[in-house]
Amino acid sequence: MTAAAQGETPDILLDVQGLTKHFGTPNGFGRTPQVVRAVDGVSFTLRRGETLGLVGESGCGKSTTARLLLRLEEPTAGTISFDGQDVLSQSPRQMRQMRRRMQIVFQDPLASLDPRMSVAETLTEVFAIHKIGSGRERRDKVAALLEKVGLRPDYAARFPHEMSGGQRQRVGIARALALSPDLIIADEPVSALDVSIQAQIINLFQDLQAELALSYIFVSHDLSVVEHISDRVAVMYLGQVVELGPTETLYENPLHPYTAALLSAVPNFSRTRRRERLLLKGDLPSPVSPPSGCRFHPRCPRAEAICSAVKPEWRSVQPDHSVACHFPLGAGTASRS
Amino acid sequence: MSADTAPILEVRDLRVAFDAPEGLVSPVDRVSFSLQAGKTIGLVGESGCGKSMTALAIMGLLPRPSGRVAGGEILFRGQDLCRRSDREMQKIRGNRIAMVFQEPMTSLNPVLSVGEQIAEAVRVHQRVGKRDAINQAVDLMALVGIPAPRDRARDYPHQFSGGMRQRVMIAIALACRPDILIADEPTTALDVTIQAQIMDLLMRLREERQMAMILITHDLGVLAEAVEHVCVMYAGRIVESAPVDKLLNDPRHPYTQRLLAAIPRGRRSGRASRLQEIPGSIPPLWDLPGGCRFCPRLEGRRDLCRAEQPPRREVGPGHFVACWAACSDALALAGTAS
Repeated sequence: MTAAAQGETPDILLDVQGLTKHFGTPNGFGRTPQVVRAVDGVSFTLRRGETLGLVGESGCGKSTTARLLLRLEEPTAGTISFDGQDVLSQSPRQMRQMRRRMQIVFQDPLASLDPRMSVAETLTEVFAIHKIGSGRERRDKVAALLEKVGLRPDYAARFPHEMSGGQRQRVGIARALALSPDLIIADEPVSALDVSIQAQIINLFQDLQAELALSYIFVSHDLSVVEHISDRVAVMYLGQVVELGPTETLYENPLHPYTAALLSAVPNFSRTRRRERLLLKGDLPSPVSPPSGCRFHPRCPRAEAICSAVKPEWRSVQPDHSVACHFPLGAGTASRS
Repeated sequence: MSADTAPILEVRDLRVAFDAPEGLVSPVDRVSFSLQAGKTIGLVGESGCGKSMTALAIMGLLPRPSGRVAGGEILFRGQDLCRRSDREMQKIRGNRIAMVFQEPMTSLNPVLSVGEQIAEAVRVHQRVGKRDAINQAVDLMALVGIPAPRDRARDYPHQFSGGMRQRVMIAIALACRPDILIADEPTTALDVTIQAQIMDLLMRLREERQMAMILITHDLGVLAEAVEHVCVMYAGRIVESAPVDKLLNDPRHPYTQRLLAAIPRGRRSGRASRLQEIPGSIPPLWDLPGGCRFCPRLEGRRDLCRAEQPPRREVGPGHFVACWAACSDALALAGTAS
């Protein structure tokens, strides 16, 4: 999918093409080394000011994709272009400059915050690393950040263990905001939180986006959260994007059978809808030896001979709504014998 | 709830006490509910609300010596489980009441094959030989939908996926045809498509085996589809208890109302794009507010809310609420409405 194909070129902040990451499994104990295809040819674009949701089940490569974008892992292949600049050709020094503009928020703030550093120290460190401001200016900036994420000024002196999960995640967000980034990659930022706290943090993400014109890549396994926050959604399965489209269209009329199964598996509050559930057979296959052709074919209720033989092409079914499937759901399927 | 059938399990004013570094705490405080044979109830609440502790108390598995039942009764077929000796409890546990936990990997023994572990559960409660027990184990594995059970019985837990491990745990729990199955967050660690498989399995087994079930979860969506009656817990107490449709469509306790409003349900639901927040956070057990424990997170708290724990009031058939605002006549009576 290229932006040019849609006529008018939207304002693209991030353009990812063919992103791939293969991990080698450790050899030894007489085992032959294997290759885990964690991310295998992922392409998408992110427009300025929008939120792109990345959903999928565990092992689908969504978190690895998030880390690759910031080069926390080095991709095996592919290109990443951030605001027109090639991310992968940046030197370490240039990369540090670039990271000012792209930041990440992790799932578990207790694991990503230093337990021996107070909130003020954690946030000041960011400015120290990037050599920004004097001591006094840094203190002022910390106070402003805390206010921005809804923490009282006295939280500056607190340590991670003295705060609740929601408060710690606010600190994680404050740290990501410290350098006024354009892009925030949020990797399961609310998955460890209780529902009532989750709502606070989701609202905070949305408020900050409106206030600071941020762009988000929002990684989550929770389809309801992603539906709530995203403008567009990419569904991943075994290292590949299988469907990408505007949130409402994708949730209302999923094209890929996997998307449909995923959506129907979400527990529903209206008890009448329950019987329509599409139960998928079996487990996720191993990314070491993904199935041939379409990776979803062994679990797919619509699979035919071609699905195990030929990898489905990525194609646009509607403007802006694309799928990789030989027999996508919806209007175009009537011709199928 | 019909009057002629006695409940198979009745929990009355259960209180659990723990010695914590901060002092004596009560993660479960005067919790009461009853379960009819063959029915399913759900306990729902956020972390620390006491739902898992309630389950452990019923199973007689509170961590000792720090934890204990400090008050109330747990009546199983009319007999108080709290007064049973360890030996007697061991017979009931697994045999009559079984439990499935959230994380199957930590509950399985990594150095025993899966078949041996299920067979072990069979042999603890039945006088059968080893070979019979293994055969029963294979049957159980087939029952819970593990493909090629005879081969897979020889595999070890690490060779199973998360969903398959949870099936093994369910097989172990079912080994002795329990009357009650307690499932504590059985699908929380699983992916959503696997969660759907496991919930489907639990519902099928419940019907086939006529088990009563207590489903414990933080996910109201899971409960909506699976249970008949829901108890909502907050900070150690049941704040509302109602038939599931009533609870979802006409919640009366402010906590239940806000919890339901805080759940993202997507744009299709036609709701505002902003989620309703519950301000503040869940109070720690060693610093619980007096009176109603949820009220400090609400505006417009009344003196009465602060002073006294609200009683449980029936507001509809089988629908109970513990909130002063839900019984306004009591407020008028006390003359403290402000």
